[in-house]
Amino acid sequence: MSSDFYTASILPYAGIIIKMCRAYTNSQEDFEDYFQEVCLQIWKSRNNFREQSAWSTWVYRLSLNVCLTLLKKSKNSRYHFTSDSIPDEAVEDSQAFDDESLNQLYRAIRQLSEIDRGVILLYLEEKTYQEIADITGTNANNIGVRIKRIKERLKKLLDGKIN
Amino acid sequence: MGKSIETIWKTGFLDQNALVAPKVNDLYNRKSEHIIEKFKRMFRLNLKAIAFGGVIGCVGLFSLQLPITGIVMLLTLLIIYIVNQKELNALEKIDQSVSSYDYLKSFDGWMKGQLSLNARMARVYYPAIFLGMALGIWFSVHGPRLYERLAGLPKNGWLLNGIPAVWLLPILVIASLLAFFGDRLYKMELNAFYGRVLSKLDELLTDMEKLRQD
Repeated sequence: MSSDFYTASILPYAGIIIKMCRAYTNSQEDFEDYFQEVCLQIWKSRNNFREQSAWSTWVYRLSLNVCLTLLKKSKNSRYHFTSDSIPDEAVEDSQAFDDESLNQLYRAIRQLSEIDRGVILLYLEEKTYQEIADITGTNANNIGVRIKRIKERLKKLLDGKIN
Repeated sequence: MGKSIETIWKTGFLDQNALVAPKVNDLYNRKSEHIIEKFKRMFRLNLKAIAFGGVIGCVGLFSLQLPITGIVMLLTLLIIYIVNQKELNALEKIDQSVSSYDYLKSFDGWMKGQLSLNARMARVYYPAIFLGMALGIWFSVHGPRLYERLAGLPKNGWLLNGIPAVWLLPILVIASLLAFFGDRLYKMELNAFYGRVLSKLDELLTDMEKLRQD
């Protein structure tokens, strides 16, 4: 991968990738692995970008897919639950950010199901319901209800009402 | 909890340190280590299975009153074990402090070397095991019974120790075929056991070479 490609096509969107990868990893080491894998997959798949969507949307979709794939790979030996179910194992602690509220929010996000994590990240990134549906491969009609449900769950998690 | 999640998100990411990208270098470091470690584990397990199988097989063949077959099998498997144990020792000496690309290239070089060595050996040990079985049966307690059966058949042509030489032809043909196709049989065996790891290794090396070119 040339540094030009990295600088021009990945670095401006690194924020997206970082936010996505943080939601699917519990340690700095895993985060770096996920980040590198996403960058690599962007570089490898760059010729598949058809300009039917914005580059940032494409990067979101690819980042989400890579994270889901890596998570599934790492969990295959540890868990047996569907991609849309909730892991029952306690999520490890993480102090990735200086802002403690953000750390708490990420800890709560990591307790959501795999797809819900992607949905809420895209919502927080102010993507439209249609874009969220396109990226996550879900139905746009249900996104609003789903986000409402996720926000309620996150609120409960942040308030400590559920563990 | 006062702040909304939207506010936490926005204010949290106002801090530029929150979005510092990790360095993208040595991209395949952990991947290559995982693949090589997995291969080493499988290789060690395979060697143990060869040694264990040789001893158990020998004991079993002795109990079936086929001592020659047992000894030939044990010796052959022990030679395979010793040669490959040396190969494994050489693999352990590969310098891991170099870049993952160089590490993988060294591993690939080792892999090709051991593959070529074992393929050549396979052209000897497959027929050796087969001849060990044929001779073992012939010179075992079961031999005379077999000889009696064969003695009843019409004997034409050149006799070897009272047995028509033509009867030995199938044994020689099978042994020759095993010698000829031994390397291919070994590669099939190798693919069945290590196929997935080896294809991942190839994929990884191809990716890394592309990365270096772009």
